[in-house]
Amino acid sequence: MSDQHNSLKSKDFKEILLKTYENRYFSNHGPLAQQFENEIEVFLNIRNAVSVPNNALAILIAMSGSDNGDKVAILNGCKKDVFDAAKMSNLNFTKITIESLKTNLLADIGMVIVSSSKLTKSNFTFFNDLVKKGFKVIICYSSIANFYDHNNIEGVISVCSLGSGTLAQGGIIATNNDELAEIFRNIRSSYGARKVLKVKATCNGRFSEIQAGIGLALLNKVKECI
Amino acid sequence: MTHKILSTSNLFEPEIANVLSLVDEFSNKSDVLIEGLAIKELEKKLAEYHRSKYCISFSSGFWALVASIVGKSIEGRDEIIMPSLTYRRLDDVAYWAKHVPVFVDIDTNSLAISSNAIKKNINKNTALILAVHPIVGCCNVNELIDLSKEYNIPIIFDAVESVHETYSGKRIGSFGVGEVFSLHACKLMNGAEGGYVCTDDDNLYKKIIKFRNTSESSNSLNCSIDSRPNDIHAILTLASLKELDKNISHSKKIYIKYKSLLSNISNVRLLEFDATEQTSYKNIVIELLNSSLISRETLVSILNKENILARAHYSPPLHMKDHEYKTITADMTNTEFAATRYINLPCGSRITTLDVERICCLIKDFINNE
Repeated sequence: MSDQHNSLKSKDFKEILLKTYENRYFSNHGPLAQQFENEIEVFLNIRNAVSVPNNALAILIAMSGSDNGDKVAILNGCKKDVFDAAKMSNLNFTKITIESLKTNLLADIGMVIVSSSKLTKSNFTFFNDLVKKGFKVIICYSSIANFYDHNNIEGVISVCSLGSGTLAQGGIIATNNDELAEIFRNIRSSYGARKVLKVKATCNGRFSEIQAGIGLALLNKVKECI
Repeated sequence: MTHKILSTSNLFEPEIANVLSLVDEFSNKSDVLIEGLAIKELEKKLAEYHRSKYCISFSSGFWALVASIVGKSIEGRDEIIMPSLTYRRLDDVAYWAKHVPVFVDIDTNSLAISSNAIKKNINKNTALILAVHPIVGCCNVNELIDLSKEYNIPIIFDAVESVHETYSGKRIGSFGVGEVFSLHACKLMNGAEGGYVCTDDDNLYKKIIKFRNTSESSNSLNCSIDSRPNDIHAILTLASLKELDKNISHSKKIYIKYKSLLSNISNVRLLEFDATEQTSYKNIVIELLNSSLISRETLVSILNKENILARAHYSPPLHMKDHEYKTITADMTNTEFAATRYINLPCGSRITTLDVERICCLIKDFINNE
């Protein structure tokens, strides 16, 4: 999807602005943000999609919302956003290769962060087993299309980027875990939360109507390509 | 009869024709928007508007505040002195900046952080003073900056509602120390989402840029996250900036109407803007003078049932929230006195003078019946 954003023309952005004005909603989880999340849920066949303004914030919210105090293993191949988010969240993390993790699964590790580039068929079973054993596994995808191409592992938390620039920005946290999704929504903002939950700290992760409009336009382009 | 929803948000909509024309202005001949161009132009225009050396725009005011704290705090110290009667997430701003919020009292006249309370709570762990401009009027900026210099503790101002205000005739944003603004749709300038920092401080500027653009840098701060703004949000803000006078003129009309009608209601006081300063007239706040007899919560509830989304002003104060991280609370005598007395009333571009008449009529009926 991040590869697709260059295909948006100025006229596409104008249409998004016109739609925003028509709805008279600019932010705070308005109709376009709701539509975007609903369409992503259908497209990815996942129960919960939580959209935020950029990929780094999606990783930050996914990590801090899943944190239970255990050590976090960040696997080789993860990008800088992941390390920034781990430092920002005060997580106790270690950088490790997938091979080391397979041979020596440290007892104090409770969460594993992996880039989708490491999600080969042979590793797939390993991560599936980790989830079954109760580990939190966060998989970082570079795009929605990239996520769509993979078979989802039941129980993982997926984070997908909508784009890395300043035109098409956004991040999505996708999960089938309703309880965790609600925690993520509450960390993001009270707007869009379905139930008010006490979280350690909130942050401003509201996804504007304009960003949602761009997301919908990009999603349509991805659908056209598939 | 169902009345339209009246909120405390500004929700100013710049003319769509102006917004679309800006899209063209920042597009190339192939009808492609040039990434980053509108953001650069916005930062240039805002620096000119505020008369500051630098303007750095952000994805939100929240992350602009976190970046400013990270950039300005004294290293090796972790306490931030801030008011308790303020924005409901300001404690979390301190948390993400890896600091401990120290909640201190306010001045009862201005509702701004008290200089005396700051002085009493400065210690060897104090890393920063975070002063917040009230939503009506301003902090005593000169006194606070002098205090910061005297104690050698850096200061930044949360000025999210003070885009157009002046203090002693000088535009907020031009004081150089680090002043943070919001571009959320409810603020004076509607950028949908966004925020920015004005400063003359070269060192702060460099650190803030490093925080914001962390994804583009291999050498990052220990605490930073990608918080770059959005081009389309920048375009919306540029259009809002062009129409600021129209926006303020409407708010002034609404404020004058409130002032006239509320003056006839006993036990209610409108917080007045300082007519000797430049101001946006945006926010409408009233004080219930006899809060032991008049229940603020009941009045807010009655108004809300009529689709008038009045809100208890900064309720609850931050020191009254439960925290899962360390906080420190100082004496709160004035804050607790003020905590039950103030109400934010509907304002902004979608409110008419007829709406104000209806709101004031309901308030009058309620007060008379109490």
